[in-house]
Amino acid sequence: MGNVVEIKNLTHYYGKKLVFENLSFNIREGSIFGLLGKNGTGKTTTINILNGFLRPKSGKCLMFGEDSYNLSPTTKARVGFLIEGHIQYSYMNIKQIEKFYSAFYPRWKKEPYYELMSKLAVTEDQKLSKMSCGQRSQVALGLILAQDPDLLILDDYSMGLDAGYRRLFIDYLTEYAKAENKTIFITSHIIQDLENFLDECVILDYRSVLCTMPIKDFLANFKQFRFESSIPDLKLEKDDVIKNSEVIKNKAAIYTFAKKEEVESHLVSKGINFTNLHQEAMSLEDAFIGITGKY
Amino acid sequence: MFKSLVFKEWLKIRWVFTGLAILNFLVVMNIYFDLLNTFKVYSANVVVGQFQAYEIVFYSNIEYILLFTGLILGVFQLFPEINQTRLKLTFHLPVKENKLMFQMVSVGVLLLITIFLFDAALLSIICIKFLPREFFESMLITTLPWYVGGICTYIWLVTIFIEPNWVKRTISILVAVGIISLFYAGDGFGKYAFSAWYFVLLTGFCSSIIFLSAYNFKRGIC
Amino acid sequence: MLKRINIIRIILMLIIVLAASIFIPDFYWKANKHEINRTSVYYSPIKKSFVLLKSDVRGVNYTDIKGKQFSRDEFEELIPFVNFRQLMLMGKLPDTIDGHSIVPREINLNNVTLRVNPIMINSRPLQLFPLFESASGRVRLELSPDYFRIGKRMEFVTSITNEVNEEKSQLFTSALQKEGFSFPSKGIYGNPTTKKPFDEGYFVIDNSNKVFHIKMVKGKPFCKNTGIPSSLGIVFISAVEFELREFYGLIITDKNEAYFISYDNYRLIQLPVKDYDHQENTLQVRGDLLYRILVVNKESGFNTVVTDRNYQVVDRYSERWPGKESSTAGIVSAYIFPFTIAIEKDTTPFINFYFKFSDLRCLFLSVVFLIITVFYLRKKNVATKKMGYFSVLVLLTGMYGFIAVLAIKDFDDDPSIPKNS
Repeated sequence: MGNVVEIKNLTHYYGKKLVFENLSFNIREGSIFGLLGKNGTGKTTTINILNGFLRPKSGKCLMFGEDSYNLSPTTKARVGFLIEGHIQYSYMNIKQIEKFYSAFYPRWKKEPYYELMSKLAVTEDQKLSKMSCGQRSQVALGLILAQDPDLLILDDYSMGLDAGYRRLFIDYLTEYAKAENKTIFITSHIIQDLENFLDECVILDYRSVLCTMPIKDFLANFKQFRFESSIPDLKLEKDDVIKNSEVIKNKAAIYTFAKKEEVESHLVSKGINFTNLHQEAMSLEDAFIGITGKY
Repeated sequence: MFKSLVFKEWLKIRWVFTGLAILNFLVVMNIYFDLLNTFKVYSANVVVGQFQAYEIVFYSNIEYILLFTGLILGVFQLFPEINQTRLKLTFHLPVKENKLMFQMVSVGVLLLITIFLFDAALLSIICIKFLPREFFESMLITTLPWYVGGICTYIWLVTIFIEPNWVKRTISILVAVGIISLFYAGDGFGKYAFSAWYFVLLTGFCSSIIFLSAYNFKRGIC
Repeated sequence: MLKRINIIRIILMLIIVLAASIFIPDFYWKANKHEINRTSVYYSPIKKSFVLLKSDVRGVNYTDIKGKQFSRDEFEELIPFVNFRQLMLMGKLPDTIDGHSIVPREINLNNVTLRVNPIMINSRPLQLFPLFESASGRVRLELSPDYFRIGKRMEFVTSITNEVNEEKSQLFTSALQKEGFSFPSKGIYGNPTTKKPFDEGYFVIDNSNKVFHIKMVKGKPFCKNTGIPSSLGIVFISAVEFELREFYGLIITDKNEAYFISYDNYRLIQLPVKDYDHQENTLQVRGDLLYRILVVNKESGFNTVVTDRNYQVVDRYSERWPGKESSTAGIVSAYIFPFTIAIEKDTTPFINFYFKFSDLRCLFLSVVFLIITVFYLRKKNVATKKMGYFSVLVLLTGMYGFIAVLAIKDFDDDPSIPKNS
């Protein structure tokens, strides 16, 4: 199983402002990959580069072995793209839009599309512009499933959707991913739905990459430790060990990849006294907030 | 696949196209009735004499309507693509981007030519019915730059809409206004008789710039 | 792909150069409108020399060629043929001038004026004309019910039905054929208006450059081969209908000659015009009881010749003044504009791309722009080969090319050259 996507040392600026530097990761065939990060950390920029709508300042981005900036039509047919906001041709109705796209994709399967549409309370000639945000997202999802792409790129699929639609998406995508060799690349800033869905992730921060690893490893290695300290106005600086921290009165929490013993010796070396140091379990969302910070 | 693209463009602009066709028809009818009334008020030989001596362009009402038609068709065809960058959707289709642009613009140009041929046919009928053939021939060469100007307007509009960078867009707008104004100069009959083909050529060259805008769009704002 | 994009970039630059070279000079000259020198020249039979009426924004000046000033009344008395009505009103019209007794009606009859400018020569009116009945017996001319064209034959189209009048067409066509007319016509010259004292029809140049005189007299065709040599190279005929009935019209040739077509069996009278370019200058011919005065008007001067009634030269005069090119604005424009393009010209009614090139003076600024361009492109890390093309463009087109280079903004700089920003 090769790499469907290869990103190497990707660097981009908007004018003089750095977006990210030396971003590198690979997406293996058949995996479900998440690009996570707060708003404005460069997720959509990465997606744009990946789909050939932005030329990075430097670095390499390959999709199915081709330079993503110059994808051949045959490769483009293998990629399904959900644009942020579920953008589609809103002047078409669900019948017209299916008819339109079916001409372009040789593997087009209209059954999954219409199956999904039957769950929608819309008439056949209702234009997309007259549908709700959630209904539109369902149309967008149906079109992608009908296309049967090898690589599915979803840029912020959750935007504007309530919990029900978000869950619908994850359910359908999970089902889709079960088929062999289907790869999914998803970006999001809402983490809670993705916990049992993602295989691997990259977490972006402003101007830096916080981590690149499988979800299992991330959840296993990234820990939250809580303790109490008698030091008044305790301040914990970010460093190699302490990725993030919170202090409320005399209770502190630190987020780290280090083991408990390393944390203890690190606090001692910093002259911080502590009591009741214990690890707290975290969900993926907790871990995400932990590594990216609350602000 | 081209059929599907034509279908998509048609869905987008069929109402605008119809509206513009009706507008053009009404303007030509207006010209027809004005001419008819002129013949009623003055005798035919007076009308022909005055038209010849003073080079009265009795169909001048259509001049800027043709520019307007190209402008409106361009706006309504391109604005939905640019609004929320739907052009990315189109460019993601498994066809080379330049081919997609070419097909999209072809649809617009063909629709424009359809309206323009319709105008030209109606005006020709009017000229041939009421006036000696010299007026018909003169009408063709007098209106030719206006039609070409309408197409050139549409082409610049596409270029301007697709260009993502605002500075370059502004420059394009300035250049477009200047170039398009060249098509609507002169008074009287057939003033472009010796240069009509240069203007067709100029329009052809202008249309290549659409691909530069598409290239800039793909490169993104950096 | 990149190569194609670069070609398109060059096309865009050329279009920007085109637009800049049209609109920047246009705006420049609007802002620097050259004051037009208005001088009217007359020949005074009293003084036997030229007198001038000069008007500008400050007012009107009446002078002679030595600069002596006159009042308006004095001036008008010097040119009695022009102002005879005013002088009559003031009781100042002389009884005789130069031995000729003066009768107002005779003055009026002999006053003629003609004007030919390049726009008239270059115009192409619709070749469809009314043929008036020239001997209707009525005081005023009446508009004909039809219009004629001369293509493969002479055809009359009845306006009200828009159909060809076969009978009339055949009648006139045979008459022309009998006179040896070669169809189709190359030019039809006349006055298609009823606002003239009488009608002399049209002068028509046939396909072998012979000149025919065509009229309708009592419904019958009058078609005469004038015998004017076909080698003349006629570019224009200004047809006239003056009560004087001395000449039918003025011929202008491609060799810048001017001839009257006289009533004496179409004999040509050559006018002693000098230094006349029919594509650039206006020719005025004025006549009165005693003289003929020919004035060639240019942008930067005029020259005039006066002849007697037998067209023998009596006197000459010319004046020059600094034209647009010699004004400050003109000199500056020679430096800043390597060339200008206009789509309209005041010597022709047709739209086209009219180029005007400056001289070597424009190189100064072009070199300055070139140097700035090279620095600018270096800063943008543009590859040397591309820089070469753009430099040539800026050298040849000066500020226009420079504007085009700036407008392009990015050039897909060579990634192997290290960037500094």
